[in-house]
Amino acid sequence: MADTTFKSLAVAGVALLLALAGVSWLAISSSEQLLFPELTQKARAEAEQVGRKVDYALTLGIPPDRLVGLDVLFAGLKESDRDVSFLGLTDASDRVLHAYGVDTEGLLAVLGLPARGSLFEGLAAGQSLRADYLVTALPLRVGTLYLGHSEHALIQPLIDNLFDIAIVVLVAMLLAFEVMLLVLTLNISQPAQAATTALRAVTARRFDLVTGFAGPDELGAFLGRVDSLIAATAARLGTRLRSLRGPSLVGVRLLSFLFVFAEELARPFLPSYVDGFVHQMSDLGTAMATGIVIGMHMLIFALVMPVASMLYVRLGRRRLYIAGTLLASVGLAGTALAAGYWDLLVWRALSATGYATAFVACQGFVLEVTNRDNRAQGAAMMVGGITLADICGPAIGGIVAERIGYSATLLMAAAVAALTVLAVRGLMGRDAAHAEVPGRITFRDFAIAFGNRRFAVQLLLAALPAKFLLTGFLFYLVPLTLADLGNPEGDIGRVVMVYGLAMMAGSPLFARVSDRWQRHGLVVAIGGVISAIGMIGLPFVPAALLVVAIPVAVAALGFGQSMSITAQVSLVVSLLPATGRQRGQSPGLTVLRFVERMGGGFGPVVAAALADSFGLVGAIGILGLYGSISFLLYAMLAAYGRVDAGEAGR
Amino acid sequence: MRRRRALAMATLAVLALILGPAAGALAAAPAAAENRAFRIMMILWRGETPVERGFRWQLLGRGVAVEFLVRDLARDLGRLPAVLAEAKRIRPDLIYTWGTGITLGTVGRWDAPDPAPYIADLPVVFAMVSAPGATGIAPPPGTPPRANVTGVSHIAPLPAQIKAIRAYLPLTRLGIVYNAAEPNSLANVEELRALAPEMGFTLLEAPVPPDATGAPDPASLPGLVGGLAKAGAQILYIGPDTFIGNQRDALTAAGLAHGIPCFTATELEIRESDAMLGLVSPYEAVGRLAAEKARKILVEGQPPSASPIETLEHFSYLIRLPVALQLKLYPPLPLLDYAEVIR
Repeated sequence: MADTTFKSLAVAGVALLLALAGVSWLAISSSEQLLFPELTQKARAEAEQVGRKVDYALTLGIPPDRLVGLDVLFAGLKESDRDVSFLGLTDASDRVLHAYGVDTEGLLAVLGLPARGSLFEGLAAGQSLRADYLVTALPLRVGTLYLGHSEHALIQPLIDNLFDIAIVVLVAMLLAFEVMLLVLTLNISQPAQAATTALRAVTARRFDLVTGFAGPDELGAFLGRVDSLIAATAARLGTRLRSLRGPSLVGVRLLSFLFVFAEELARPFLPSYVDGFVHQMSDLGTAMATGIVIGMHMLIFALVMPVASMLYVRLGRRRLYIAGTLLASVGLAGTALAAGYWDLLVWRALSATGYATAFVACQGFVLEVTNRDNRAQGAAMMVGGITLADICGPAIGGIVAERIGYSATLLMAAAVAALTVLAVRGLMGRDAAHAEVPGRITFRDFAIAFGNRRFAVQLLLAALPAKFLLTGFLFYLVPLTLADLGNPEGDIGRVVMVYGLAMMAGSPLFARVSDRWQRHGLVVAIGGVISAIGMIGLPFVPAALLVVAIPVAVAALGFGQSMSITAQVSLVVSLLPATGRQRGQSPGLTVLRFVERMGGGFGPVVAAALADSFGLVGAIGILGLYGSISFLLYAMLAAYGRVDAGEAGR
Repeated sequence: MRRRRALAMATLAVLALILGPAAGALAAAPAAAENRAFRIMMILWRGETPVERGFRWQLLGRGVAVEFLVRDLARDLGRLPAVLAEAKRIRPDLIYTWGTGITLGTVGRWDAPDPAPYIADLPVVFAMVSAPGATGIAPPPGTPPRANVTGVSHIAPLPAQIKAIRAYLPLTRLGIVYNAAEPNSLANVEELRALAPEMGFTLLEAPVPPDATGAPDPASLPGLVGGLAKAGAQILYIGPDTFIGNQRDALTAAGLAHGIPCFTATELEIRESDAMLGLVSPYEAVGRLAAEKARKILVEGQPPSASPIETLEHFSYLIRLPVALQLKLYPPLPLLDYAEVIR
């Protein structure tokens, strides 16, 4: 069944890819037509700029063959415009006096060629296409100035945009994949599975199961017939009927994706955006003031979760999710329109509150719909949605911010969060009467957790440093350092995205490794060191290479953390087994999440303090050093535990 | 409620408007408190120059009421003591001095053992001092600034001058004819010596020998330039040197005869003689910067020591076109974007 689903998904994926490729190609060819006149105008303007200087020199009485500094002008032109390929000056009898970027023979050869017809409109006077060049000829008081541009210039801006186009295609693919998975699962796989189960029961002469998938379409009509047959038989035999149609968990992927995506859109530029507000905070230090805003999100997340968990039973998952996304939406919109530092802080706190509330609602949904056997699978669905948002959010946010600015992008994020409300009814189903409360945290949990020395070591030397590196480095230092180096938001977003990609690639791989080795402590330690190692090297990298080195360090962080996070969950669950108070929930995990999120909130603040004294790159190095030392200590102290189930969370 | 608060605010604002400047004026400038124009004594070397024009216009433009007491020495330093005696008697709010000689005579060296002959308790702002550090008007770096002296030097920093020459032509050998008897000129040559290895050129020196009376001999100039030409000098450097300044025509003509252009750091040699290129401070801008320092002292009550002794940030690049054409050393195109061409 799943095989069929994937086949159809693959076909649809290829079709989508072809369609996107076609659209991209159309965009490219139409933009050539738009760009050509711009190129010719630019060429004309550059030729005139040089021509004016040469003319002025000639009026001063400088002989044309003795002009000095044309080579410098040519180099300057080339620096500001990569497409310039040659510059030449001839006298009245067409003798070449000066030629740069091409030798005299070469220039004469190009000028001797017949002009080609152009595919596009837009050649100005004195311009022609010869060989691979757009040649602009400008008559001067003595002789003619020739400026040549490479025709490949037409494609250049498109190549510059290719990255953005590729990202948009990738994200569109991923989203389309999600939606198709959802549609296929709800409308085909699940009804078909239900039909199989019901009919198997019929063959076993049990008439107590109906599919519950009766509907207007062909499949629905067919299943309706099956159900009514079974129901009729059941009525004759007097058996009680049970519908196989329950709430489907597949929606949690999209739901968790949506609210995280809204928040992640701002990831690549949030530190720079906040930076614009902190000038009023001179007594705090600007770096610190920015760090506080970035870190506070994590802190509020940790504090609100237990509160939201208490509300879960009273409100139910759907209302809770709606409340969360609306709060997040208002918070994001407020962030976009904030007037000063303090109200910015309030809006950020609001959106963090919403984020935590939606998170609890999704977690509760997973707990309610799954049982012991498929809980890990359900949690993986939610983590999958979140990871996807981690990848798509920063990439899209960066591209959008580059084009419409920070505030408009934040407003867009607010709109995404608000529109999520529309998807809830279809994806979460009705609130169930029984509710299993997610992750409520009690003082008893803390007592149990901290009473265990191994757990305390795990928390202080592994869990906390990991979150510290994530929030301090990825959420704060990376965007600021890259912005400092003059990278546009789109590029910053792509670098941040590398973390999510590495996580996505690493998680399944390392989950297998860690289960095979049965040495979770070791895997946590190795992963931790890997995650920090890339950061240590950054202060020694020359500034020009940082653009390459930072993504490498981010990838190392993603890989390392995907390795240690999966192993750490198994480890903590086995350290502090569930007390039977709640099925499938470990008090250790709840405490772990709470404490590491609290700690994560201080990551950007500490990073800011370090950046104040050691510069941005220096701060990265120190964080990396701290992480490595901490994980090595942990490795020395760790004894190895057993494997157990996982839990949704980050 | 709201109205009462507005009233209180308005009252406060009015009080601040009245008291603020008054307090500032009381603390800062006695003249303003007595509600009269500031008195500035100008001690000049050769009458009014564009520097003083810039000085006056700047103060006028900033709305500072000033009464100028102009004392022109007409190129005779012997008249200075009388002017200083007058200054000590009438106590102007500020003294403006022109050039190294007058400034040195007015404030003395920073480490002068006996300060009695000099002005030590009135603010002095100088202009047109070519080397405040080398001549001892400014204390050396690392020592505290002088309490009552600040001003403007009109000479671009030497590295900037060398770069200016190199923007025109490649430079490996720089020739200089100078009067070793002038501290100004000697200080400049010493600085060039130190800079030569750093910036990768050779300094070819030709000190002017004294004649029978012991004064530097103008007749020696053509021979000295000829020697420098033989040694391969690509350009002759004219620094702040009064003797060479007076002999500018003889020197530039000797250069032309050997096909060597002259570079100058002061304006006269290129405006009124045949130097080919120069990096100079426009006189008026020097006056404006000096006036700004004077305004801060008089109006804002800033002590002179708080205002650094400095040069302009921007200098004029001058090219004397007939000389360039005659020597067939044509100015590079990029220079023509910002150079002032004298035709």
